[in-house]
Amino acid sequence: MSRSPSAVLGLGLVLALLLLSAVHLRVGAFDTPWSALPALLWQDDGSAAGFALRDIRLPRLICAMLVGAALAVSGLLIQIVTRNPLGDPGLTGVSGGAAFGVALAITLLSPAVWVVLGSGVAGGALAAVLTFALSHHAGMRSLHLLLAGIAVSAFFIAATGAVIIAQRSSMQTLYFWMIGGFAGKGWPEVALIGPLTASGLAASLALGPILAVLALDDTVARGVGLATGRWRLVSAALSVLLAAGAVAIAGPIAFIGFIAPHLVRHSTPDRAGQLAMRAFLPLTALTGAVLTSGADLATRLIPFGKNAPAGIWVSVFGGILFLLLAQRMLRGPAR
Amino acid sequence: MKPAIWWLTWPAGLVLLGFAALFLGATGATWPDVWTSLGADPEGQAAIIARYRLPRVAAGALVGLHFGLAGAILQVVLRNPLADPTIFGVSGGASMAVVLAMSAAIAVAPPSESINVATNYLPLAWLPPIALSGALIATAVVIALAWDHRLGTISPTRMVLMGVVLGAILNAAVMALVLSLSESRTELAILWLSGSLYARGFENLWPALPWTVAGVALTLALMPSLSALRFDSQTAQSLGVRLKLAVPLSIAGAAALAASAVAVAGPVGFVGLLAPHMAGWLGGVRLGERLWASAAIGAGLVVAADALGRIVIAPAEMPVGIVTSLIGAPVFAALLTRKYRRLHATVGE
Repeated sequence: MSRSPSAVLGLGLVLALLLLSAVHLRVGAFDTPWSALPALLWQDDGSAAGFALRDIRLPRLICAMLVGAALAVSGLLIQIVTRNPLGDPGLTGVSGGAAFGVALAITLLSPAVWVVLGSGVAGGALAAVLTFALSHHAGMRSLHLLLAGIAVSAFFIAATGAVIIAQRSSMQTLYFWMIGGFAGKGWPEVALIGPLTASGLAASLALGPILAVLALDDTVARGVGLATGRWRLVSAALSVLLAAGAVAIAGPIAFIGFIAPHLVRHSTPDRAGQLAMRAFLPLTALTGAVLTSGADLATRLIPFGKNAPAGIWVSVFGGILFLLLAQRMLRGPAR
Repeated sequence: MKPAIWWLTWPAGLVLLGFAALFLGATGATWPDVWTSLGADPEGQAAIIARYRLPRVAAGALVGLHFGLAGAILQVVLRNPLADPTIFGVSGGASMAVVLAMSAAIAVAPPSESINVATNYLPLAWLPPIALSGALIATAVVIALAWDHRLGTISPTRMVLMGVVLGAILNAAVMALVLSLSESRTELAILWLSGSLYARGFENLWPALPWTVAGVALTLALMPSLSALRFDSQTAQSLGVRLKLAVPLSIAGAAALAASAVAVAGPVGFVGLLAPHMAGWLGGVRLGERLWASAAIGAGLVVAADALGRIVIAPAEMPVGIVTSLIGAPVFAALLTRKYRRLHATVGE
């Protein structure tokens, strides 16, 4: 009985994802009839509609889903490691640091895929260390984690802007990249982020039992014989890896990592902690994928602000959700 | 009380800095150039200085003065050492209101051609009041969100967090609006949104001046209340401050100063945070000293940051907002570690 609510939620999320994918693949400059959709997906008939479907819409959709899942799980890991329910790769500065690393690699080092990714991970890790150093004295559960994250993030975002503008790029390129989106993402991007996200998600799942203990009190965690320090470090590294991969592909999209775990917590009757980690992790990843692919579909369908990067809608609606949820959490009993 | 020489340092330093900024740029300048540019009919290098650099330095000084004074007032009234109008959603609200008004104006009449995106749809003098209305709404929302029901006060840390998130929401919404307005204008709109003095002329400056005067006058009038507000609200009350009048009025004054600066140059980040702290490091115990020193330092900061942004990658330029953020964010981080105990006591976390 205790597992059925999460099973229902999982089923609903999968259905939502399928529906979003179908609409995503169908609509666009070449309107494909529903009946022709499967055939066009499986075989190349040389038509422009087939090309649009297989080489433009499909990889873009997959990218959006992978990035959403990666950011969501990264956010969940940060929330567990810091025990701060407001954790998010964007708000803790990790995304900003990764963005700086990626921009630095593209402009100064080399645009080779592994250099870009490595530099992004290094930037994200540096930002995570800085945020930790700036906030651990005050306790990471307090708002200081986020204030430190805001400082780190503001610095790295300005530095990213400086690097990109110094390369004579237009402000628009910079802005669009900094807000994050999926327009123009193709199979090379999928090939980059696919294995990374898949292995990151698999590793998080494997860590599931440990994460479940880490989410508890430190004394409890040590009581069951867990080397909490070491496993926290591993989980934090994993969250940086997932976030940096997503940022390298889609730019620093905000709030997904915060919202997805909370949406899962709020839509399952058994409250945080009680939900088994092996259900919680995949549900969070699915929610993230639904959110980003939904936002991407919105940029393609809504005529208002057309061609806006998907990150704009994520920021607007994700930000409002953050304010509402954070308000509720902060109003609650003193921790 | 500081000696008179202390008071003279600020304006003198500012004038020197302004002169230095006139020399700096993509093209070199010599003393005669700068000198003739201030005369009647400049040509050549002197013309560049007179037509482009001089108004820019003036705009930078004015914007910095506004942000510096606004930040100092906010830090006193909110008793929050991390207060800054640009990280409090004030500038997001101001930009949102300006862009909304622009969309409305375009719906009524088609736009003309001009380089200043913020100004080619609406009369310039309308921008500061429009920006102010947006700033006031955003400030009210941030204060409501930051209200700590347990303690019955505004939580300083929560105010920063809520302000930053509200700013992110508003900036994204502004961008969506700009994109739906006209795609050819996005480049300039983005430049304005990141805080830039690019192509600012005297015509952008005049509409902000009445707000400078009003802001300074209000600050002078509120000075006794502000001095008392540095202590806790009970002490302030017993010193005869009418809290219900003085607090909202001071916040509105700070918002007006910040919003009119945003209307000129967009959000130039962290100046309002940096200037009051620098004023504190340089001495200045009495509140009046700190406020005016903060205004002067703000002006100097923006002029210097803009000059730096013009020369580092000349002939291209770095928006002044990026330069100030690169300096301001580490200071914000340092304040966070140094002053956390005090904030702790206030929040009661």
